[in-house]
Amino acid sequence: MSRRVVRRALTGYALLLPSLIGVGCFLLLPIAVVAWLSVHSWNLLGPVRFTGWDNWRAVLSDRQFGHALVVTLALTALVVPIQTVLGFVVAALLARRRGGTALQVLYALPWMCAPVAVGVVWQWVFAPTGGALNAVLGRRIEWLSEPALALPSVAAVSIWSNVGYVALFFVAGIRAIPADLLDAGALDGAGGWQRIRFLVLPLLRPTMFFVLVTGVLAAFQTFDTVYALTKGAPDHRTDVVAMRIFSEAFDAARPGRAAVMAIVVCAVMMLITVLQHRYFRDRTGYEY
Amino acid sequence: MKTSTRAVLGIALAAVLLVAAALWLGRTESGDGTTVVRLRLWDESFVPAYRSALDAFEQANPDVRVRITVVPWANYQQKLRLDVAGGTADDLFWTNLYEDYADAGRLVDVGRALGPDAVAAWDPSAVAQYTRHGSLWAAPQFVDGGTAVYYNRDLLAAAGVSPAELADLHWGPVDTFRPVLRRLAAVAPWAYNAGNDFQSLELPYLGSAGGRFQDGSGDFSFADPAGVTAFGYLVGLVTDRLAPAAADTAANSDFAKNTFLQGKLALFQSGTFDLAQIAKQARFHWGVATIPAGPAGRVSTNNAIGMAANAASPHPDATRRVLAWLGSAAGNRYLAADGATIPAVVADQLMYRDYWARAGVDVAPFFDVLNGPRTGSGGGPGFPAALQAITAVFAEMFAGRIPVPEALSRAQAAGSAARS
Repeated sequence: MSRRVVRRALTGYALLLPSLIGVGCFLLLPIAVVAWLSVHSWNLLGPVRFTGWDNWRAVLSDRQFGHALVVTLALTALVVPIQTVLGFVVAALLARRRGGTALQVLYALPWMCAPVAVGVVWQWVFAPTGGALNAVLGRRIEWLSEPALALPSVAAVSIWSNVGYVALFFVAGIRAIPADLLDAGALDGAGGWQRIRFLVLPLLRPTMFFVLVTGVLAAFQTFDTVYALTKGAPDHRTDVVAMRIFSEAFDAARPGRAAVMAIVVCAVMMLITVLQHRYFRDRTGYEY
Repeated sequence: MKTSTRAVLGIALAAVLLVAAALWLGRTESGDGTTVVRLRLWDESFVPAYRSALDAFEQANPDVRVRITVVPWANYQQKLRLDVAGGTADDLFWTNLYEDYADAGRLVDVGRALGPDAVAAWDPSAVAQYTRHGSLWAAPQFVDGGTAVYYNRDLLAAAGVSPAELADLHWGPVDTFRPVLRRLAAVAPWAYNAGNDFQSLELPYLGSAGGRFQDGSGDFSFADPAGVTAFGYLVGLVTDRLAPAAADTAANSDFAKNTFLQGKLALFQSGTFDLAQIAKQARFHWGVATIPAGPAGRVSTNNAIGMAANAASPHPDATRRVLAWLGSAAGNRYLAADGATIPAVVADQLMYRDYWARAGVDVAPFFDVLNGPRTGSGGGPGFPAALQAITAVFAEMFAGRIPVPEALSRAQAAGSAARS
């Protein structure tokens, strides 16, 4: 092998090294640690003991974890469709208007705020006594303590945080649609709704795919808002999986079981993402 | 030089500066050769008192500097456990739930390190709280005293209730407490702060009903007839709107204290830890009375906060010297100087009472209740996780969604499962 070839190869590896270190330290190593933890028992203070499948058996027979998965799915089902529709509506109103960019930033502000800070502010908004929302409504509603209202209230805060962010993607997608196409539709007699239904929405499918996939992944990882607003109460009605994993790892000091939960949640998220990908696979390609 | 080269060099320089700053902040040896001992608290308001005590220590011990870190209570327990596990915990740290650390060999045996003279100076109940398997695992810093009832004298006057009447109230089969609360409810938004408050309400009521939170072996034992009596009474006060709704107190743990300070709550049952704030912020006439007696009398719990020493400290000798100072009469009395808390050194406790006597506040109800029987404040391996599981079920009980006997059984099972 010539020196030139060796030198080129070494240069290539040297350029790859930062990425390899990043992937190794921040992806592969944590995955390996989580897998290792899942078959060990440790309370963070005492000795580590190999326990085989004990953690897996405990988690897979844990009804609270199953319940947390259902709560997370319910939260996802509430948040993702609503934030997608609202994000699209906001984008449709802003995309081709003057001053739209400033308004986009304004709408995206909640997404830029620290989620825990958002949670603290909304806790005051939702407070049964002295809360802003009840003061406006003029009646007492226990938004975060009433079992039927707690999850929708948490979902509302998530939607409020995310709508502007989702709208940013739709704005970009709408602006990428050639104006000629929309003008042609108008010339053919299509009204506003028909142009959206038969032109804009089909052409936005790649954006829709991205927004839905990232929306589902983000909803599955919801933690800060729940932690700040309810900590899983009342009666575990808002006990999402991320909250359960945190509680198992740091409150109960059972990181082994938390690791199993994390692996299960990861598998569920991958499954949902694959299903979404399959659904959109043949529906996102357009040439115009 | 190319722009891209400048950018890479800039990033590299920033990284080097960040690493250097991190190393400098985390150093345990100062530039002048002195040893830096780190001490961790969870309450910012104690920093001035500790700083004064440590300034005096540093004057007498010029080879040691003590740096105070405050980690808020909300995530103190989780962060401490992680830091101890990761070997980054401070040399000294406040503790109240120490058993897991002691059992894992992460704490210094304080009794052995400081000797019998130090132990003899401390409040015996605090020493008992931090003694496990015959060893003392923390130097007691201050005690909470017992539980008492802060009253709004103006609201009492409006309801025609004299402060003297509060001194002899009973709840249970012979109930003289509830009629007084009804009279107070007629003049105030809320009469009393019954609710899901472990130390100030649940333990005293449980004890006053003849029950215990944990039995001798540490197993939870509150789901018995005494527990049903105690919690049934408390929940009944919430249901009857003599206390704030469970939703209010669940959403904000300071709701009762704040409403008392706003003059909307007539009676506020709590400990000495709220005394300084009430004295400073209450804009009405107020006083302190004894808690109502239950079927088994008037029983309160007393709790103490201790300073534990990290067994993995790189400066064991300097750490021991700081601990000895903070546990001594001379070092401990700084905590009582402004009436903030009751020092654990018995000889210093009079300072606290004198301070409040000078301020015109009779703190005797916090101490008198401890002359009778007391109930334990709970503890043992896995206790934080268990208490969290129990409190979540109690929240549903106070909201009226689970009947008291069923809730107690469920809470007891949840607590046992959480610590298993």
